[in-house]
Amino acid sequence: MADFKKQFKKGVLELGILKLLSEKDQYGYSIIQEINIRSNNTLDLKDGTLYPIMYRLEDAKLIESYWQEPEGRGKPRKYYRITSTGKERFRQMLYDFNEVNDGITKILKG
Amino acid sequence: MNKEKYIKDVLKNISADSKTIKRIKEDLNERIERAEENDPFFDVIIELGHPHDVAKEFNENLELDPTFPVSIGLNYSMSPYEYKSKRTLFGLPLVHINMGGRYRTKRAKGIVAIGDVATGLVAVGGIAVGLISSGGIAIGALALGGVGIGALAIGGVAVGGIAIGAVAIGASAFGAVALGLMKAFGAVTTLFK
Repeated sequence: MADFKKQFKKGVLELGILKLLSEKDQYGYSIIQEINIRSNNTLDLKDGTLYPIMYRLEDAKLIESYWQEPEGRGKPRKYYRITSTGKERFRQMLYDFNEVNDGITKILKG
Repeated sequence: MNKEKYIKDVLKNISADSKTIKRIKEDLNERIERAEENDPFFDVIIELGHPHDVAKEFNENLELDPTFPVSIGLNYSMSPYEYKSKRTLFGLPLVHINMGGRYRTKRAKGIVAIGDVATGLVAVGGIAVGLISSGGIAIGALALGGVGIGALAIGGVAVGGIAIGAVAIGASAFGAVALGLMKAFGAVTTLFK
């Protein structure tokens, strides 16, 4: 069962991350916080899960990273943003997710 | 535990290529710095977890198999290490060290070669082939290894012109079990003529 949850999470986390980045550019730490807060910790996102997903999305050119100098003092921050291909992919994924979700919900309702 | 030590401990247990290791290093460094800014009482172990567990999660999600069964390497770290000297002789680097990584089957080739699989005049490795060789399986003029095969072979199992080992097979064999063509000395000996 743990494996089912892991596999299920992997797919939906990609969707969740693309959703967050479609709202605004974010850095890794803020993505972890945002996902955990919004999901009420049910997704329990950790670094070892987040970054491999980010690398896959980046390699697929769905997101990209950039460094930004802070307004005041401090070190530059690494931000991630969604690309136009990523936005398109997100819309498709969301459509697919809703379709599958509707289908499985109907089955489970009996 | 400070940030640098923590990241180092995580990375040494991740079996990924150098490009991915660099990415992870950069992101973990960035992530910890941001968390430290937000929380003055930030504790990296409490927040991120034990380095070994973090590395395990990375390995799983990078779809790397942390328990890959083939492992002939010299070291236990899954982080690859390579050094190649700039000086060369006969077109070969004077020293080439290459080991570690996901499968621990890195090849080293040089005058002095040290690696998971090493080939050189002097070779040390999981599998070592050279004039003078030492390793798990060593093949050479002078071979010293778990299994040694050579003109002069010394090992747990030694096969060669002169073979010295627990089990020795050779023209002249010296061992607990010695099988020789010309001479055989040991507890159990057989001479082939």
